Amino acid sequence: MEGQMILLLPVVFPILAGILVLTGSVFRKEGRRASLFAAACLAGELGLVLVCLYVGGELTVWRLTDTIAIELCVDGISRLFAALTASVWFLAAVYSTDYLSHEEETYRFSGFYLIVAGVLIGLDFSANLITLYVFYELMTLTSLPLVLHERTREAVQAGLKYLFYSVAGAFMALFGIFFLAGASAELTFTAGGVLTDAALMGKEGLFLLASFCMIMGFGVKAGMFPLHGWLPTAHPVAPAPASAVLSGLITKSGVLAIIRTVYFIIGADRLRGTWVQNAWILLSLLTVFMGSMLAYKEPVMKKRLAYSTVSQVSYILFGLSLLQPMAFVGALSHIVFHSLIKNALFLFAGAVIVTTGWTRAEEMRGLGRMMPITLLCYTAVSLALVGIPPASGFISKWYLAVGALSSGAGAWSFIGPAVLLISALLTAGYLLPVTIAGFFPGNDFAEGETVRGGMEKKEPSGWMLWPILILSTGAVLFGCFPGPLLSMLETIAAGVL
Amino acid sequence: MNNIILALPVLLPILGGSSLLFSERRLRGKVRDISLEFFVGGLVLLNSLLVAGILLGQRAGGDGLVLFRLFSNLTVQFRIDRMGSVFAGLIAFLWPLATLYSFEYMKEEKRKATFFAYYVMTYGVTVGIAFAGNLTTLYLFYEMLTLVTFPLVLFPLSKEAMRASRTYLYFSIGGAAFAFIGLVFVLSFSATGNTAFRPGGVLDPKLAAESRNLLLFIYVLAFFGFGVKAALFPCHAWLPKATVAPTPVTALLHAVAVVKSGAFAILRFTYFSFGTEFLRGSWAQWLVMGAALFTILFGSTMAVREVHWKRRLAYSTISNLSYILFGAALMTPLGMAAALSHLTAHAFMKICSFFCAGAVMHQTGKTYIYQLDGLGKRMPVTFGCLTVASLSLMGIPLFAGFISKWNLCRAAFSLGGSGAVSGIGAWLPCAGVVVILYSALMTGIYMLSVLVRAYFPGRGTGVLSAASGEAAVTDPGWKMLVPLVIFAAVILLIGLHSGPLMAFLTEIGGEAG
Amino acid sequence: MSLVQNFPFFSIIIAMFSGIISSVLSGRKARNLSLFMITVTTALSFFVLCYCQETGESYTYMMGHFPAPWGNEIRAGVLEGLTATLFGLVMFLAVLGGIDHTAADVEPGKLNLFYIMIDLMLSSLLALVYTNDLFTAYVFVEINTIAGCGLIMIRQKKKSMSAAIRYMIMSQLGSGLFLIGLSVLYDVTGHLLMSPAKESVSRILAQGSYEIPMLVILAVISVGLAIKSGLYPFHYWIPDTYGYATPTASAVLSGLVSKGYIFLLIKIFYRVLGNEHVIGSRLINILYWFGIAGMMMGSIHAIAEKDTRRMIAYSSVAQIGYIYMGIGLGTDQGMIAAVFHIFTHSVTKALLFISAVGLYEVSGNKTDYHSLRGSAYRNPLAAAGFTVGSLSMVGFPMLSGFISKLLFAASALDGTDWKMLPTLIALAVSTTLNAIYFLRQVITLYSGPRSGPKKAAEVSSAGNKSSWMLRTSILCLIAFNVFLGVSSQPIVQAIADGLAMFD
Repeated sequence: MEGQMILLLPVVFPILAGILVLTGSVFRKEGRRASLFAAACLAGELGLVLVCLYVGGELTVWRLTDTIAIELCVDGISRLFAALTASVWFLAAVYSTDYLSHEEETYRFSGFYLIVAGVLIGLDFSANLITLYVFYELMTLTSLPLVLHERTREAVQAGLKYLFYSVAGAFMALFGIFFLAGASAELTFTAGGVLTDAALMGKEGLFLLASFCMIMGFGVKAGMFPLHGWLPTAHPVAPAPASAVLSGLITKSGVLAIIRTVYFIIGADRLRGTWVQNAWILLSLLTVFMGSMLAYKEPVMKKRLAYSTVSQVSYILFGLSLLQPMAFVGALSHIVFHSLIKNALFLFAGAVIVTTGWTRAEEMRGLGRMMPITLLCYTAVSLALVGIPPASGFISKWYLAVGALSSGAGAWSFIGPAVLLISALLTAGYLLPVTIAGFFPGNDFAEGETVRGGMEKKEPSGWMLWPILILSTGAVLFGCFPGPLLSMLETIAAGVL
Repeated sequence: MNNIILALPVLLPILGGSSLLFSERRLRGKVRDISLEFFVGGLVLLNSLLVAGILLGQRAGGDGLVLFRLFSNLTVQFRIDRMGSVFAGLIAFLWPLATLYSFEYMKEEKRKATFFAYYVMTYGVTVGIAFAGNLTTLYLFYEMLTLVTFPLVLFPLSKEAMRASRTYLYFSIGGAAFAFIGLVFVLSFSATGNTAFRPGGVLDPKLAAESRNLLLFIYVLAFFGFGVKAALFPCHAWLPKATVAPTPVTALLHAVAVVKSGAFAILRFTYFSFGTEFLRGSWAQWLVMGAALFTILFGSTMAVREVHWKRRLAYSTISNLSYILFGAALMTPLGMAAALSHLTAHAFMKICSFFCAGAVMHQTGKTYIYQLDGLGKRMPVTFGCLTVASLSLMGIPLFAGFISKWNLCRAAFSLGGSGAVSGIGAWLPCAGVVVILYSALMTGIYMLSVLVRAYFPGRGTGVLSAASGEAAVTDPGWKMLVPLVIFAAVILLIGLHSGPLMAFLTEIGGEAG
Repeated sequence: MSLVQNFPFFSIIIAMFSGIISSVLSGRKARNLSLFMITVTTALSFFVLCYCQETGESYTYMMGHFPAPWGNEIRAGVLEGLTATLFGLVMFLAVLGGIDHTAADVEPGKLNLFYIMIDLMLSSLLALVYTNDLFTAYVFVEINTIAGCGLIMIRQKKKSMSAAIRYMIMSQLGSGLFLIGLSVLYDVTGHLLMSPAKESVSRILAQGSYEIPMLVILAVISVGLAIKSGLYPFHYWIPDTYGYATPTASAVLSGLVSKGYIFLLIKIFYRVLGNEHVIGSRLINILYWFGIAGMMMGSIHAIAEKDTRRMIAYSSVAQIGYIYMGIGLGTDQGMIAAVFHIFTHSVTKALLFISAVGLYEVSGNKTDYHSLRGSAYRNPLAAAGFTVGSLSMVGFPMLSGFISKLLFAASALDGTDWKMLPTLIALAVSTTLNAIYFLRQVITLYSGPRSGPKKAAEVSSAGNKSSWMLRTSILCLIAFNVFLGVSSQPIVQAIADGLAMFD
């Protein structure tokens, strides 16, 4: 092992903590103990991550063979993702201390929750394609128990579907990795790409095919059409904190992988103008539209949010596919914003389920009276997602649109923003009704209608409320003061484009 | 006289084993069981040490040992070269552990002496295949392998077992008959006048060029002939049936010794008898490559559909063997090295999987996938090892399976994607990569669905409660667990630290390919 | 002229006289005399072999006082000596192995008749091997037929009778055709001695006259002997015959008699018609194709058979197909392979029949497939013998069958152009087919419950006591088989030398 050893800590620490939770008998009896312990560890994890981000550097962990090594490093992208991951993970853990008291076998959830955190940090810190792939596969395997947690028949089916889609996607990407390994000796992430023209001589067709496979393969995790089918099935059956992080962060790992592959290995210039780029743009736009449409029509709240994720993540993918600096910035910023927003939304949905037992959107009336603060947060993030200024979503959408128009990608320059606009309308359509019905339930909504727990004011507990609050505040604040974030993203964009 | 030691690890088990056959009636009861275990265990261990000693002490090359002359130019000859030492080393490591496992597994069985007699004899014969210095010797021991293994398949003496052993026998003999034709041709066209293995092949180039198409046809025949033991489609049908044999037999023989001998024979035949110079780029190469790829597809897909656990693993074996054959069919140094790496890796992965299945069968009597709910908690060590083996079979990095897949796909791309070959040669290897990845996905499905069932039984299946009516199910005893754990550890070891092994294998590839 | 050179004549005469003397002896004495005689003649043949090997050439020997070209002549060379030795050995072991059964099967009063037939059989075989003139050949062919018939009929059961009659008819058909061929040959060439006849034939063929008669001769002689040796499609009588005779008789008939006729055919090809001419004509190809057909069809019929003896009999059909295929290849190598297979098959078939007997004994004297289940545990040696025989038939290395296969394959590669692939494919397919029915039987022997039907237990205890002869016979045959498999080189060399000096 050579390099900054400290980089290994945020990866290994949560994994060990998770194994401890899984095997320690002290955690089995009292479920709450496990989730509290997890939250505490993740607080520490957040600290570790911040330290690593400050210190920076690289680390070669282990050489698998002469040519493949597990390496970690901290660069702009890593910083972004790692910070996001660690903070959101912590907040969701705090939330789950209360939420999971309604569940069984908490220790198993908390244990795997911790392990996935470590694996994700490892993913974020990956310095080469192989390391990325290792953590990618590990992430699928370790997040599976989170999906399966309820162990009902649907949960198991959904879990298996998640598993197989993810594995299929990973193997598609592996095809590309094998090809690239043949074409280039180095697979370390370098801004602007590592491939040389000489290496690709005579294999251009195969190269494009391999690139496409990688994008599609990693795109499975990100829920890109046509391989998005696992998402709407997996999200509803998992416990709310799990759905939150699945939507909020694990899907982003697919995005991360695509970013690393396209911008740091292949090089954006090689794909510009090729059929690969066109297909990519088409598919992401298709997903944007389709996701919003399906969300609009979906009655079950968590499933609606899942479709929303499908759609929103493809905003990011669209931005990335344009291979243009402004769009790139828009995409990256949307990663941050959407994470915060989607997590908040899922946590909200979970709070509603726990408090009232309602799972369908049309049932959620009169929430304004029951949990006004919570609903307020919901409203704030919904507006952000729709893209109303000055909320954060507006910023990212703006950058995406401008980037599209100036990307020189032919017809897409115009179609793109149009689709984004339609999608925004649909987003409003599927998110805002709850707000409206919550604050203005309508005349026919009689007082004292039987609802679980009655109609008195009943906010979710502090453990659950505070994370929602913090996330929503973050979503709004980034909208009001986007400066620092945007300048950092612009630096990264300049590096790769 | 030094070289006579080469014959020892072959003859010792054969003689020792056959002596057991006659002792069936002597002792009775506990005394006999213990003495049997000591005798067999000691014999196997001694033999492995012998092999280890030979491998470590031998310098590469040398003339080896000529046992006797079968007929004019056909001699029975042993000779160690690097490739043989890989196979021999593998067998020597696995056999004692497998024997240990089978002591516990076969504890309740009658006629143990007969079983162990043939088990030990198979060891000797397999070492004979590894040590074979020419095609004649390989063929001789190949036939003998059929002969000593089929009583093991027959062992349960049930109707199913009889039918399975018959199928096994017919297929094996049929395959050997076609391989025999290959032998005769190599003898006729040999530049040296005999069938000795030489890297790069032993055919006389002028003679061979004259009858090129005929020789290619014979090569294909012999490939399929040897391919029977390597479960190449369409000669694979015996393997799923043979799972009716006791698990130690299925695991060691049909996941390691017998089927790997088939693959080993094909590797020898391709690289050391015919020679890749002659075969490269010919229609025969594409044909056998296509057959291997089809087998991979077929095996993986059938495994997903199969609900009997051991048969599922059997189909997995069929598929994985053709990975090795695909590597062989690439006919490049990299391909050879990759094939050998998968030969090694898969041996460990598959024997670990079968032994886990056997442990479950032994402890609970359950043989079908849908019966395995919730066992993960009750038999943690067993299923832990199964997890390692499954992840490795899928090709997850950090495990051995990834290393061999990596090598295979790199070798495929360096042949196909290199732009040096045109036509079918350009895309078939790349299609091979796609096939392998498809197979990996299927492997994920059929291995992980077992694990998910075991660790996360659905609610309402009631397996976790003792009220389901079973006695307490636990991990098996140490004799079965120790081998399992060791295999899992090796899988991890190869996965993490494959450098030395790959360097060695690449050398072999370099000199032969 | 050294003493050794008289030996062929002596052996034939001794055999005949033993037969004559046995008519006045009791059964047991006849048996002992028979065994003794066989031993002696085998030894004599062996000396002849050594002598010929030393001198490196064959010699002729006049019998009687009529000089050539009308008298009787014997010719002995390496090949003849070798064949005679082998035939003698196999016959000895076959008789030895079947002694108990013979004693049980045949009425005591008629026992000496059995051994008379054996003696006559041996003498006629020796004569066929050594003879150098056609008329003698015909005479002994007839004697052979009669002896064969006698051997089959001796059981006096209904099935044996009908089998004997069938045998008689088919044999006579063959002999008749043979006689016709002989007559035409005599007519055309004016000779009965082989060597002068050959000169005549070459002259005639060179002139191009008598084309049709020559063709007829060739065809008729071949068909005649083919019928007698059981070439497909003239094999129909074989399963019934071999199936219902006593074990010794079956072993002798299938192992030796048919080979004697094939040997005679080869002899006629080489010494009368001239091998080149035979090859030049299309006849060789017909023999080749019938040989291959026999290989396939024989095995296929065997697979369908439930009765073990008939199965073994059909296997003979297949094996004779191998031999004719080898002859049909038309090369020296092919002929060597065919002759070696004659040896292999004699030994192996005898082994199979005798071992099978051991198995029937412990299975209530039933011969069908299912009754033999598990008999390996009741009579391990017989089962071992049967297994070795089966493996040899399949062509397992280290056994003689493998060498045969090897020789056939190698000869196919050598200068045979279009015949090569069919030969090789046929070899491979036939191996597989052989595996199917033989190894199926072997599996049945070793599987199933150890205890057979109660009757079997009684019979086995009776059988076990007095069967040391059976056991010795099986052991020797196994050893012989392995010997041929492992150190065949000198024998093959001897065959090659023998063929070189055959004409």
